[in-house]
Amino acid sequence: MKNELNKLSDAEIVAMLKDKSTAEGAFAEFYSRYSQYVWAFCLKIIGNTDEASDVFQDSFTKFYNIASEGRITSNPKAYLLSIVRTTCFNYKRDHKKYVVIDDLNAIPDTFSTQNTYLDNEQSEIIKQAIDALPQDQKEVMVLRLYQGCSYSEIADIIGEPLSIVKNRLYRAREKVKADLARYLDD
Amino acid sequence: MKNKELIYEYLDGELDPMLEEKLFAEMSVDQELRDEFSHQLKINKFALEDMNTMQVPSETTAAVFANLGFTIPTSVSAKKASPLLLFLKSKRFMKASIAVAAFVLSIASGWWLNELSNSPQAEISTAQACIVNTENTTSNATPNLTTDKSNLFSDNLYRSTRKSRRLMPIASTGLANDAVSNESNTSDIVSNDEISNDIAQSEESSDNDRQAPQVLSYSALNAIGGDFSFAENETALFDYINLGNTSSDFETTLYTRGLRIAKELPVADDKSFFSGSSISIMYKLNDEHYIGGDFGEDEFYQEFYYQHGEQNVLYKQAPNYYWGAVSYKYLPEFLSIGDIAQPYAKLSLGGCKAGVIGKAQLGLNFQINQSLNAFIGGEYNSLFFNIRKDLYTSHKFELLYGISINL
Repeated sequence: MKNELNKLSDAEIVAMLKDKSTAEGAFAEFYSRYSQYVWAFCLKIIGNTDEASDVFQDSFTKFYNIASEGRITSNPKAYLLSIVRTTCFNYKRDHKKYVVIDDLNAIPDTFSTQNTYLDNEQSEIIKQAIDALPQDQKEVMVLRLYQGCSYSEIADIIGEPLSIVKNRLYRAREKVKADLARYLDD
Repeated sequence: MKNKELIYEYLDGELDPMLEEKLFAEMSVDQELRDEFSHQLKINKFALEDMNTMQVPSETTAAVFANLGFTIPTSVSAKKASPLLLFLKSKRFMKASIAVAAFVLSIASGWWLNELSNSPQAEISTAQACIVNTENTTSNATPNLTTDKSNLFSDNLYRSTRKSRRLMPIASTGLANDAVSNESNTSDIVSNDEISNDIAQSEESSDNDRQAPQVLSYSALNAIGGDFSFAENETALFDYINLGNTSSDFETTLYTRGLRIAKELPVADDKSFFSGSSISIMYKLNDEHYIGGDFGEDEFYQEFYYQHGEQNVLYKQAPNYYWGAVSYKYLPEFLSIGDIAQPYAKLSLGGCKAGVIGKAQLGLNFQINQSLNAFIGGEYNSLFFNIRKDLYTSHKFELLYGISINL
């Protein structure tokens, strides 16, 4: 059964979630494919392991409930990430621990290159640089670099035109590069 | 389209193949563009490495499947967490463990300090000390059973007593109750050789200028239920120091104590340097509740009877005991006075060699800055001790003030 599920597409797996007799195995397969991506997104956006764990659980529960009703017809991965994204931002809105991003220029640059370059590992530095991005830039960066989403997938997930996705990615990369300039030149 | 955008789209797998040739042609002649490509490649590589470090916690996976009523397949979680493991990793267990550890540490520290500080003769408990005084012939530290008034309070004898626990028999009581005034009866009452020797030594001393305490005469009684008399309104300047700091989760505090209201020995005191000092380590459950442990050294006045034959002897002593206790501290936010002051209450329950100790504090905490707090309050102390199945209590109240330092 496990080997058979491995060969199925996402859409086929999700279709099996409608049937209770196959739902458990299908969900386990889908979870094994995308749980790490979802976890990385939650962790990057929420920033706290315990809270990310709550959002992660809610996201998969919502996804299963929707999928079991047969309401996911195409691109389950994008649908899942869309649910995760919405759940993350709802959580942050409800808990008011983060600033709502209206003005990108108002976001302080919390990433201090002077303090971190000398002491941290490379992966830690890039992680901090991405974490310090404004929220809308961070989510497209995470979806692109961590989730491997295409531009069109990102556009679907965040509900914005392709041009917006490209623009945010461009600015995000410029900012990360600026933060890492000294390190990258070494 | 800028050349940078070509690089980004190329690395994202979104670049049109027709534009790839253009990109590489540009890079072949542009060092800055090659550097940009190299930088973006590194960022992508680091992001991938970061991604690989982020594994879903096993308890989170377990929770997802449990929420849906599914069992966790091994293909999903090779490291399926057992319920026990999940419990052990839970915050509740961590907090409980810290509280228990603090309590055990407090008790163990008190016991250990007692072991370090006391002589073998003084290690015995209070109840045992009475027995030793009447039966043991080897102790120089507790040779104080006598009804001889003139010998009892000689400085020589008192010194030997106060080294450890200042056990002071004040008077013999009995049905006939004439021992206090009848010196000739002393040797009959105390047949212990060592005690006789000590009395003899004390007689050699000409230094009898220490004021004798009040000699009390009590009728014979069992004193079951203890001595609940409290607060003879004697006050004394009393130093009390707790060392400590306050961090985000753990709090220890620097205390100083002032006036004390308690029953005391009516003779000059020579408390040990650390008498009254203690260390408190509290774990912050949330902004209002703390749990942890205290341990320290404290002096307790004790008054009890001990039967010697037909004689019922009243003893008074004020020994220093090392004690340990588990503590709970409550800082009600709704009673806060702005950001400046906040009342608090603290309860401690523990023990020392003599018996059970209870402490209750009420005070007001003043925030000086983020790393420094000052406070003032009061503490009520109770010691419950047992002498030959008779329960006695000792109480005192002390003024409490000091500072806490956040590290």
